[in-house]
Amino acid sequence: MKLIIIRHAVAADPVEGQRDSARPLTSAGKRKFSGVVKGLKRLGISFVHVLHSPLLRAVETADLLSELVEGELRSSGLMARAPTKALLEELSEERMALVGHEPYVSELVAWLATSDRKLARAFPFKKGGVVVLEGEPKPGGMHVAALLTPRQLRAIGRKR
Amino acid sequence: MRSAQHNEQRIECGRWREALLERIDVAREGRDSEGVHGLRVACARLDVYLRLLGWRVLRADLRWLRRAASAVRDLDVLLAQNDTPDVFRVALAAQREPAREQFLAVLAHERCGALLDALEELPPLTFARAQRRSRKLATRVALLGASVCRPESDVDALHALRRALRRLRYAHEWMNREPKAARRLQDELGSLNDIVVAQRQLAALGLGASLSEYDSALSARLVLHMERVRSAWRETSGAILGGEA
Repeated sequence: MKLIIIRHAVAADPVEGQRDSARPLTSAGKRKFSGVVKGLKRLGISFVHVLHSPLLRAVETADLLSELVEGELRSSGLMARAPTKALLEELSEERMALVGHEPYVSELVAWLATSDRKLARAFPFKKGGVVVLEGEPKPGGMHVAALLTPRQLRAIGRKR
Repeated sequence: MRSAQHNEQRIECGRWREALLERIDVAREGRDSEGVHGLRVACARLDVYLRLLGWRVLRADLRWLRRAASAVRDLDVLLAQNDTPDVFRVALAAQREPAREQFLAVLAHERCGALLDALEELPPLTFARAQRRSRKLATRVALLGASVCRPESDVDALHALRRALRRLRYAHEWMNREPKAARRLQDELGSLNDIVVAQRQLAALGLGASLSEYDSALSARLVLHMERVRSAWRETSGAILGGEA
């Protein structure tokens, strides 16, 4: 399978009294991530389903991806915590995207690509960054097909 | 003309998220079958809120929850009807417990919890944005309404109108408008849907042949109701659309 792992776009700083889960994307974050989506589209990347964290910044990021989604966007609390076997069991479709948070997305890539989550630092994500994995969704069962920064994807999206 | 202040007025979805939570509790306990219906209504209202925001995300989650509730609710409606034949009633009753178990499994699923968490953080909606999006919903209702008045229109066209009208009505409710005319038409469309659900259940259970008299009666009621809906549309469409489409 092809698995596209995405870190949420740039979100507002926390405001006093505000829950972390309520932090929205900034206007610039939305604009820049729309450029990332254009880049993904230009690369011919689309998804059957998207699994996203329920935190507002991930929900908004997933919504910006919706034009690339053929099937459903699904909420999952599993995307808001360290990766577990339960999350791997959800990875059933041929092309799926996951939208989540650091350090969990890096841990997930390390786990799937090397079977060692402690290697998460070898797979850093920028906000709005994308990693494409291919293979079987089990620890050590996938390889990194592409590691794309948001800047690269925006540049790809701008090219004629 | 509405003032700029009015256009910037914020619409919050908190009350319907709270309503959804309450109805999930009632539905889970199973002490009141209206809890399941209320849950479906809350899901539909929140779906419209997302449409007014212009969001696609979370709507599949709401649909998933609503579908599980509908499986139970549709059976409850049929079981509550006086004219449901006994053979049919027994077969429906046998389906209810598995449907309820499936519904409870959906309520217990982590996806349901994630949906509720996400709904808690939905941003407010401005009146101006809601009004813009509501016009699109009204255009769809107008198109579908015109199509159901054509002699060749079928029951699927009426279902499409029912769904579109429900969305428009809820959009109006989010904007604090009184949708009396829409409610009247929606009641007619709802009765029509009850007949179609009965027909589908009858066919799914393979009872159409053994209960042919009842099946024929349903077909006759369906034809009658389709005409009533068309007539209600002609009488109410002006008030429902109110120059919006």
